[in-house]
Amino acid sequence: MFQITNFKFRQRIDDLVYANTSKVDASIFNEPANLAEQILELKYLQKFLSSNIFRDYISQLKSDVEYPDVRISKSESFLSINTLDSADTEKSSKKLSGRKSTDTSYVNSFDLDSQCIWKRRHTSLTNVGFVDSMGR
Amino acid sequence: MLSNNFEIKEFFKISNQLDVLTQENGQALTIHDILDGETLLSLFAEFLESLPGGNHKIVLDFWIRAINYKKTTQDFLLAFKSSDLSRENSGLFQTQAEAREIFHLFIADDASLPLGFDSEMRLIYTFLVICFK
Repeated sequence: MFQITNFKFRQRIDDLVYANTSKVDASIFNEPANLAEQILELKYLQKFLSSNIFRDYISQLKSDVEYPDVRISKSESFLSINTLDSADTEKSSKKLSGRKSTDTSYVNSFDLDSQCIWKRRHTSLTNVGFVDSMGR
Repeated sequence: MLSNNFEIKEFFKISNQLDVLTQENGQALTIHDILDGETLLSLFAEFLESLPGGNHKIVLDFWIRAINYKKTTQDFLLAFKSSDLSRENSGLFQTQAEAREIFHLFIADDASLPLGFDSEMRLIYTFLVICFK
């Protein structure tokens, strides 16, 4: 196997690392680091750009731009999980999956609209913090 | 619906990032676009790890160590010049130890992670060495 040790800069780095122990040079690996960059570019960049890993990342970004509320809902779900507003997360999830969730049958159209909190019907699952007209 | 400044900024940041990444079907990207971005760098590392046949990530590992060494040493040199710290307390000895470690890991004759090249990489490297002369 051909090794980087065969090249001219190995001796130079060797000298810089060991020749003068009182000297510290920030640039001693510049040359091999530049070579490493070029090798990464020439050998791997195009393969990476056409890889599934990169495509998945682009798809995720596209999805984030297309459905920004989904992304925000995901990141803030820990805040809204115990509130009536968590229905927004359900709304976003449904938009993506296109199917009705079976375990959220208590969610009605008012639950999906955060502007209609006051219209939501209350069930044992959604009455956290509910105050009735008598203030109870 | 984006409701606050943070969300709007995030939206435009992602949108802009997407424009850059998909420009000319990704062909406009350089290795610096990948190496300078935290997310893309980790994805690139994941990609290199996933490649069959040998340790392809070693070149990236070396690059990361070399760049970190450079930044750390520059910071220490600045701190050393602008203070009364002794050489021992400034951390300069640590950076020198790091340089030796990088050297022994990747470059020395008996390196434990030698930057070995296959025939394709050897051709590229030969080309690059000629360019550097």
